[in-house]
Amino acid sequence: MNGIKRKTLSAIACLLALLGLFSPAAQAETGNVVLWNKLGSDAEIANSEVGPGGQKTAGHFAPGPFANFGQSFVNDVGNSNVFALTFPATSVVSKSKGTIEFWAKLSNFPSNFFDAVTMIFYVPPPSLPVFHWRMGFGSNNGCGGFGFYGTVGVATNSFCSGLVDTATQSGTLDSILGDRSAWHHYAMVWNETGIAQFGGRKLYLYLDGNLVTTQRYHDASPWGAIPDGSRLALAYFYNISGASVAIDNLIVWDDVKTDFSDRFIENPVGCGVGDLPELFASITAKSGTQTERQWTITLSNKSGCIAENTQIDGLTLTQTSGAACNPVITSPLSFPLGVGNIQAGAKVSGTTTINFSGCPNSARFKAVIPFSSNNGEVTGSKTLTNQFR
Amino acid sequence: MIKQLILLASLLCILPSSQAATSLQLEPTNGLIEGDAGDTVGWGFLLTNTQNYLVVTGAEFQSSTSPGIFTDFISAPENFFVVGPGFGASTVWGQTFDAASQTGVGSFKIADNAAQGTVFGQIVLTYDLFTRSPFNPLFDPDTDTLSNGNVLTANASINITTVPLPAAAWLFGAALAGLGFIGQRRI
Repeated sequence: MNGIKRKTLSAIACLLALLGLFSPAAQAETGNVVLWNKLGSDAEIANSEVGPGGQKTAGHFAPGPFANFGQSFVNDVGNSNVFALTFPATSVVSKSKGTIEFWAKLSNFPSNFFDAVTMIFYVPPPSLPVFHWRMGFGSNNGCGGFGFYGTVGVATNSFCSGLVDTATQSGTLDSILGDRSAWHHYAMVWNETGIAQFGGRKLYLYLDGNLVTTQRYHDASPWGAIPDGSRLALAYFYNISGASVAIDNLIVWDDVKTDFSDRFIENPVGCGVGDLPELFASITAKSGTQTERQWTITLSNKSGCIAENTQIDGLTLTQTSGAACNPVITSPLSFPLGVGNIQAGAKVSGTTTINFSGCPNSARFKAVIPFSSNNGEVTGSKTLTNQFR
Repeated sequence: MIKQLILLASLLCILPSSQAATSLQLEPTNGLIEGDAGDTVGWGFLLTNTQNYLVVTGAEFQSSTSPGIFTDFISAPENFFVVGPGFGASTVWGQTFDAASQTGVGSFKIADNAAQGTVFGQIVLTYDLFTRSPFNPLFDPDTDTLSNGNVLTANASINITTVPLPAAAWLFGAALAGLGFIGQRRI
């Protein structure tokens, strides 16, 4: 059987859960995850991992898995101002402080931009002004900010009152992003009463985990309350034809987050008490000659927990086609093959060498790869068929 | 057999004209299948590959909750197929689901005690690519292997419609009926 077997939670973990010390949402220095949507499928969009589900506008979002970063896709909406995907803002955006982070990839945008590329947009109910919580690129966001910019806070009077604005104030998409068509990680953090480590300023942007140097600051506190019926939307273009934005793994926190070193891990909730890593195995490469054929076995950790002391416990080949032969594993001389710890979201590989002497080119095998970690608390096995040498 | 041919023909007709070189489409196309607790259900498929030679090496149903057991049909050695242009291969391979003949991506045996509702997940297909068809007499895996462990995914979900009463409930009901019958005779 493929898959993972988990041992029953320890009595201590159960006791902690009963005592209320076990929280389903992440509880870290950066607060709680209030929205986490992987955007990987229609089902995932409608059923967020944490927080309320999203509402998709037909035809404007094609979801895809995070792992290959390739398919969560907001189609070109040109001038139509159509929001591809929305979430109820009042339950996921905290006026006082918070963090919005996501991965995004721009396609077919010119490097010199003179129109708005808004990836996150706050949408109030009809009849109320469309301000703010916004992050994107533009030649002018309406308040004099341009370049890579973000705004937060609800305007109460004019377009710019009641918001904080930060921007790179210059540059092209290429000068800001490096490769404008690559995947980048974006984050916006805010605190209405100021962020101490930022000298009291109230909004900052992060690009690929790095704090963006800002040149413009506009503040007209206090901010208005977020009206009922408001939405947090992905994504909004203005006057850009033929372009598109892919967005993946949207996460909203209820506090200021300053460390985005975990941005490669899809799971922001982390490893809870009693949680165990989830491992998947595959044969990812084959090389060498018939008598010294090297197979690379890769174990992927798709959970928020570290897999400790991970090992490949064996490799069994059963011939299913071709003239009978007897392949011999020459390295390692014995199993298990230790591959060490696997960080959350990471992969580790081990190599085996097999002597296929006497096996015809048409020989096919079924390969069974048992694996384990955490001193046997996590065990699993992967079966792969139709394996040529 | 005729049913399978009709399905394959219908799948071919709805192929998008701008499809990718390698693609997986489930049957039904929305990936949603339905059954009662205890039933065996499954997915058909249409697999397309136009640029090189693809061999499926595994399939699984991945879900955060999996109330049953998935059995891989598509990579079964007796179901061996090469998807690609020529040399005994075909650029399109399709099969309807049939539990008896073990065709399709695979079957899902819904657990007898599965709760009513919809389980969301995805079918994950693992495959290897070759520069030459394995059916070509000149095929040599040492030199013709292009890449291993590639993955195709498709959204898949299972709607579990009803939950059968456990045997104990029927026994309990029969006992109640029996007691009622005996009581009526004594009056």
